Amino acid sequence: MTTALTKISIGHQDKLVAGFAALAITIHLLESTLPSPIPGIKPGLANLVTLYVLIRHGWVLAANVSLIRVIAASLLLGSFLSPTFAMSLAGAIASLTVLGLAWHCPGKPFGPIGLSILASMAHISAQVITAYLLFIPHSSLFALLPILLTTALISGTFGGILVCKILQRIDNLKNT
Amino acid sequence: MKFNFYISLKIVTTIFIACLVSLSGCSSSKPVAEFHETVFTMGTLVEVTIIGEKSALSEKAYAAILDDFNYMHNTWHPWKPNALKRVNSLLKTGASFPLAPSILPLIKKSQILSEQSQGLFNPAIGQLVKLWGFHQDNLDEIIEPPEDSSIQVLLKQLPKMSDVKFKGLSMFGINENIQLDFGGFAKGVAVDSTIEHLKEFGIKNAIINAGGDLRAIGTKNGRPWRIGIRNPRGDGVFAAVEVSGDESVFTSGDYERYFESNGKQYHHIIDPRTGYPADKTRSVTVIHSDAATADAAATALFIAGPEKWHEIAKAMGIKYVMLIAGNGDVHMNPTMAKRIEFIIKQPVIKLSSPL
Amino acid sequence: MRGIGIASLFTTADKILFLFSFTLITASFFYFWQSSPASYAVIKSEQQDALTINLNEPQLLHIQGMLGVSTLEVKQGQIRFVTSPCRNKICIQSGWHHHGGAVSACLPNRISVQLASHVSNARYDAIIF
Repeated sequence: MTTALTKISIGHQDKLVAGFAALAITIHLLESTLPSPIPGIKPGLANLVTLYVLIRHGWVLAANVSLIRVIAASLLLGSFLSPTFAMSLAGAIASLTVLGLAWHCPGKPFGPIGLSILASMAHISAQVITAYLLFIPHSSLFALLPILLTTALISGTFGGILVCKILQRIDNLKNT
Repeated sequence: MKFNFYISLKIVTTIFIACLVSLSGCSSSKPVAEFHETVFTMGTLVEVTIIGEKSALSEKAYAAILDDFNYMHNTWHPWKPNALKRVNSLLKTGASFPLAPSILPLIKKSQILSEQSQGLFNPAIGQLVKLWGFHQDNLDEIIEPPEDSSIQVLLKQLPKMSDVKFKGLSMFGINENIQLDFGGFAKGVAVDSTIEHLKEFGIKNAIINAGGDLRAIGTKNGRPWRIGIRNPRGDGVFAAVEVSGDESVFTSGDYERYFESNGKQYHHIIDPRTGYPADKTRSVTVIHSDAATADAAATALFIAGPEKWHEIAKAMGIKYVMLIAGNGDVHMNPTMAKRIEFIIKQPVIKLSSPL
Repeated sequence: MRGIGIASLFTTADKILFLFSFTLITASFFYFWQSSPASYAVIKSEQQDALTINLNEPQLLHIQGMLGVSTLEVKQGQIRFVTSPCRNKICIQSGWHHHGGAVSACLPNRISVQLASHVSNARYDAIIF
């Protein structure tokens, strides 16, 4: 057999994904050191990276960054294929789906804040549903949902505002 | 631009409504007639729940089973003057006497169960129970446990259910120590009897809960009955189990009837082998089809303790057992573990081999 | 600059979304938190007529039973036995009750307390112990 080694060419987009993924992973790891009152409640700053990539580089890249982050971070933290991983993955898939739909709405009505809110609410809802289906089949689990949705709304709003500011700064830098 | 905005709004609204609709699957169905009454009888608090029947029928059925309970309570009472007392005094003499129809079913059924439980369920040891002082309403009057010598005397010639013999239409006893005490069994038989009576009224969905031991038939509007299991010392409901079709859930515990002496608690479930209250177990919960067997099994398994419960449960044909040992360990067989849902933090469970 | 500045970062759709989410979350509180706490209780005693009491009014009740008077305390949708003339005080040890459908009783004193809630979807259909 001929050695048909496909030459993996690294394009510009791959570098972008790698860079952003690295950033997201780092943020995720740093966040994982923070203590949290309720398991699974984290500021979710790594998601802001996904959001930025979505806005500036499109959904496909954002999806790549997000999924790479979830998998790589769980490998690094040793939680790969654990319940935490399942919930992270479910949350990531849900928020990517919702972001994809929202981003491709004709006229792009949603700004970073709206997108961030949608992503965080979808993320947390998916996590609760996953937890219910796989780990804690108690209907009383849903009693947590209102509280979690509230924190999702708050963190989503603030995250969105942060992304707006970052976008402004970067635009300013580009223009100067 | 405006046109596009409204389309987007529609999309967003649809997504949210879809979420709401899927969440609404958790809601309950339309309200159906619920009859619920509680009454003091059979020495405890009995709750009767009947679902989906016209209130006239429920009332009538309830009144009928109240009569049943009163009759059974008086007829089977372990120490009040009644048919059982007469039977007991006649059995002691060894002489032959005509079968007592009100007591016969209890004797026959408990003979079978006693044999299956290797004698751990033994209603014939009434004298031993009385010796410990449990044959009175007011347990305040007991100051101390009986002398060991008195216990040993009774143990030497321990009465068994097989000491009650039948010949034609007569019966007689062959052990002068025999005294039938159906305390650990009468509730089960009573629940069975009253459930059957409800069924005769055409009632399909009901629960009779006699002081924490119950039998449930049918369903609660199509979904299984949700039964909460509570620690009587006030920690609230710690586990739940669902029953449907026709199932009984019975518990035996060391907290039901007891007295205290010199700082030690003595409860009423006497181990026929030692003559002393069984002390290896805190409580046993059993799920089974008929209540009488469940009642007897709960008592027998309590006495059997963490070492022997599996063997006895198998012999009695019990398929679902949860035993909380004296040290707090929770023992269960696999199918029971699947059914019990712990509400509080899941305790360490010792899973046995299948029953 | 801060306040108005941030508001301008919201697009129209964002604002609508925010309000929508807020409403949804508030609704979810009502929906998922209907654990049907009991709102009233019926106290039955053989020595006196059945008494229906509102569990949201804090009060102390003295109920005449067969052995004597049992005292019950009511507070914030809960009820418990405080004193009772029985020997084993199992009724007192069972603590506060708040589940709709739960029953507490002092058997020797022949007093029973049946909790009820207006939402018939009580968490448990029966309680055993």
